[in-house]
Amino acid sequence: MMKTPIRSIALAVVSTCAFVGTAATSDAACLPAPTALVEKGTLTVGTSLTAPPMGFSKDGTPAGFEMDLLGAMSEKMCLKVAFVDLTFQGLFPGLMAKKFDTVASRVGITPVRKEQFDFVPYFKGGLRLVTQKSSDVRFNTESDVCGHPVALVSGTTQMAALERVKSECPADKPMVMKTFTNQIEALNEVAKKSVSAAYVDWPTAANVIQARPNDFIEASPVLSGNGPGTPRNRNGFVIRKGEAGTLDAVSGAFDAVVADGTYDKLMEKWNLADGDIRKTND
Amino acid sequence: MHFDGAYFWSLLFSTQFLHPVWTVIVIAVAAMLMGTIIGTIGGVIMTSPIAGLRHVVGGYVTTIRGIPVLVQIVFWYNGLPALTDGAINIPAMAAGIIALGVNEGAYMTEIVRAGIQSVERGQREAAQALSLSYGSMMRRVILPQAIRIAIPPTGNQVINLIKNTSLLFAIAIPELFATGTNLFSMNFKYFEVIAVVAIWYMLLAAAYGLIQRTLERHFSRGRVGLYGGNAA
Repeated sequence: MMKTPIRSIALAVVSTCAFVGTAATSDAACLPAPTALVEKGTLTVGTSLTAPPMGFSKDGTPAGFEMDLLGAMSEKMCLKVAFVDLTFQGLFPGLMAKKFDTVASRVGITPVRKEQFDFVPYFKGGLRLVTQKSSDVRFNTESDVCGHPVALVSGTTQMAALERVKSECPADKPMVMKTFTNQIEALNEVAKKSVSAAYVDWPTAANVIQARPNDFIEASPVLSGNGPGTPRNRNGFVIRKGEAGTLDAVSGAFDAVVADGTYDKLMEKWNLADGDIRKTND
Repeated sequence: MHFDGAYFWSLLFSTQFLHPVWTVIVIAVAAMLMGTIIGTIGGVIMTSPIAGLRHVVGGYVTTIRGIPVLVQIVFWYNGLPALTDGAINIPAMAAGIIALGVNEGAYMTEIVRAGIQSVERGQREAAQALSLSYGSMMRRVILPQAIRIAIPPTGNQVINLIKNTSLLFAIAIPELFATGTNLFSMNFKYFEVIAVVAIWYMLLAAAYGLIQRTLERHFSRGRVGLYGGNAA
């Protein structure tokens, strides 16, 4: 008979908590969604699912840090999320042609791109050269790449970084760039020993070295892409210029995801704490 | 409408496409030579009495014609090293030329076969009457007559080959289309760049068209056309 009051009190407490809990989630208002969506009720995102752990295809479904982050953001705006998988160079024309609402594919924020698009920064990027485990070649800056064939992805910050120093290469050590459509193929070139190194994003480098430590090794520190001593480039969600509605909505959703700790949880889940956008200790 | 006219004209006459265009020409010539040699041997085999060899060549033609060129290119460049664990690792240019050449060989086999079969049987009987060996007969009697029939379809193949070199962007060969994609990925001027790339391909195809006309005229010497006048 003594147990009953305690049990009923416990039950009352639990059910109140549950009620409060449901009340809290149902009371949470939807954050404003972008005004003109490609598909009503869904945030359509253009991406290139070829760079684990940021964005890749797992059993046919999109997975990765970016996918989880966008999923959380869409939830804040009470939208579903859908991904369109393309090669990297097809993402910008696709966005301009309104085939999706935004692009999330480790896109570095550069002055040239900012002339055409707006960005919502969400990740601290950085470029890294990767080489074969058996190779001794190491690079400190992009200029060291002269004379060594390098594999990279067409249209990326890495390509811009190497193009910048291309003309300063000595005549007997020209810059040789082999451009592919995605980072996996660029890394495959390294595995085949057809190039000296691959120039990829630092999370992709970390992931492939962790997965295959006998084949790959870091060949450079994390580079900024703008020359030595400059801050690492930031990755951002790409928005068409002038679409303030979309920019504010995505920005607001991202801030909400950071505020409630989901951002930290995702960083920890994917082991990407070095990309925390809030840390500016470059 | 966005069209940067100044950029378009400066790009059309710029020298940065010259090396890629030269790469396209080198690859096309090498692949066509390889394809023509394979095709001639294949075509002769297909019209020969040796059933075993005919089946082998027939199998080759069916297989290669059934697989998209892009798949073949990726096979020679990435598929072979993966299969043989890195033992066979062909550099990009060589892989591209081999892939396109082998692909071309299948189509050329059929074209040469059609050319040979177009030569009437009387020619073979006359060669036998003159006691010519098989090799002599082919070289001096049949093939010279077969070539005249084979040139127009071959011309189609050459132009297709020039355009198929654009698929080599997938294995990072710095040819015309790859150079174009790299350019517009950096400066976002998609239409201007793609228009210039298209114009270069058209120029290459048109230049080959002139060569083809000369070839046809050479091989139709002495023949009268359907409505009088020259045959070509």
